[in-house]
Amino acid sequence: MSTFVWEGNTSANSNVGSNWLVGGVPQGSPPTAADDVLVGSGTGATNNPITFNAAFACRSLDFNGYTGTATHNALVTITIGDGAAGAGNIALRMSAGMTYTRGSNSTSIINFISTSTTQQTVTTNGKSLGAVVQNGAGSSYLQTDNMLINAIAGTFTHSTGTWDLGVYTMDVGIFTTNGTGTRSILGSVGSIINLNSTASSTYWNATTSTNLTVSSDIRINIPNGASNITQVFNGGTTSIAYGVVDMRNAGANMLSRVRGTCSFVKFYAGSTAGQARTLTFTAGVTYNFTQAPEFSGSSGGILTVASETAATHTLSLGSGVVSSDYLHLTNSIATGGASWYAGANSTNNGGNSGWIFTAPPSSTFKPSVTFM
Amino acid sequence: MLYKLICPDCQEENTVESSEPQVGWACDFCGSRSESSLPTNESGELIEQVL
Repeated sequence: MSTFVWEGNTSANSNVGSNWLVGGVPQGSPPTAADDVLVGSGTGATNNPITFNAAFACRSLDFNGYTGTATHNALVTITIGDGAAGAGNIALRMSAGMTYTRGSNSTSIINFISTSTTQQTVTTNGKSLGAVVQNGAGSSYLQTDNMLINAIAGTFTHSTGTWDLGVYTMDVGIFTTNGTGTRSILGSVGSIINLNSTASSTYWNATTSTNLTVSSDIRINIPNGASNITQVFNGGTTSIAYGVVDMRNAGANMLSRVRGTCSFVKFYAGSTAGQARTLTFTAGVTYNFTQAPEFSGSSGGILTVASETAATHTLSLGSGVVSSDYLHLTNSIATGGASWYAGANSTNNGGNSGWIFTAPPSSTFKPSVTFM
Repeated sequence: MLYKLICPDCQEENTVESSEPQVGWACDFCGSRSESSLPTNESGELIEQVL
């Protein structure tokens, strides 16, 4: 392996060998998957523009110090990784001072395929990526800052290996981790995945969740809505315990679907005035919650809670009080020991049990200490 | 601020004005649309482009 340094004296073409230096010497061919790549640092480095206009491979890609312009064409995949970790255990580092242009949200792809088990870092410094893929068996990547994979339309496809958000946020259109590869999505308290798409789609796609681990410290938000769309959260079929999942957002006549067999620390769904919507769960499945879920309709914005098919689902919370209102409930079994209040303005449309169609009793305060 | 951005399709240089770190723009030469992340400081604030 070698360390290739971007000079760009011949052109901006990343696949022309003479644009690259190794030890200050121009090369006859561009880097390969076994080479570390420096753009903006190293002997002979320049800030000349670089364009990835054809498939490009390297072990690591480090833009540290680069203030030039990197252009990533549509239909071009930058493939990072081989059997060894990148220099300094860096897989990708973008600099704050660079300009990064992508030609497509879906086909300007960065594909992490390392098979090294050494944890490697990914730093993006606020640059918005198009599409990201992780498909390296045994690989382990760690975010070192917030990651933006196009605010709306970007995709993260997680096939194999471990992705650790650290304490950071990933903003992406949709997240797909659907398959059987051994894979983990890790995080710490405070790590967030925002699924920002505004089109009908499976926003969280773990439909086949075999060999998948997801940290319950990760909060998953679906913050953007749009009228008349369907947003699906598919938690998979392997009883994954998710952390907080929040499907509250704006958009009238929306359909929010929770599919799969999974549980949640906490779950939010709601509708506000003028934004009536429907929330469905998979029939025949029991969804367990650690904390009281919040299903919140509003006057003029009824939240319909039902099963996706004509049979019952079960919602289970061990203790405490669930306080809802302005719901239309159908085929919903509430159980587990908690008190499930649908609220005084909710409607029992049949097939329900365990729900109490009144407001919860007002809490009372009983001082246990007498102040003198 | 003004930024010189290279069109991924036709490689022509465009001048684009933006006050946000992320900008969507159309090439003056071929009409192709692209998205660019512009240079920022460590605080994420937009800075002038080094040319």
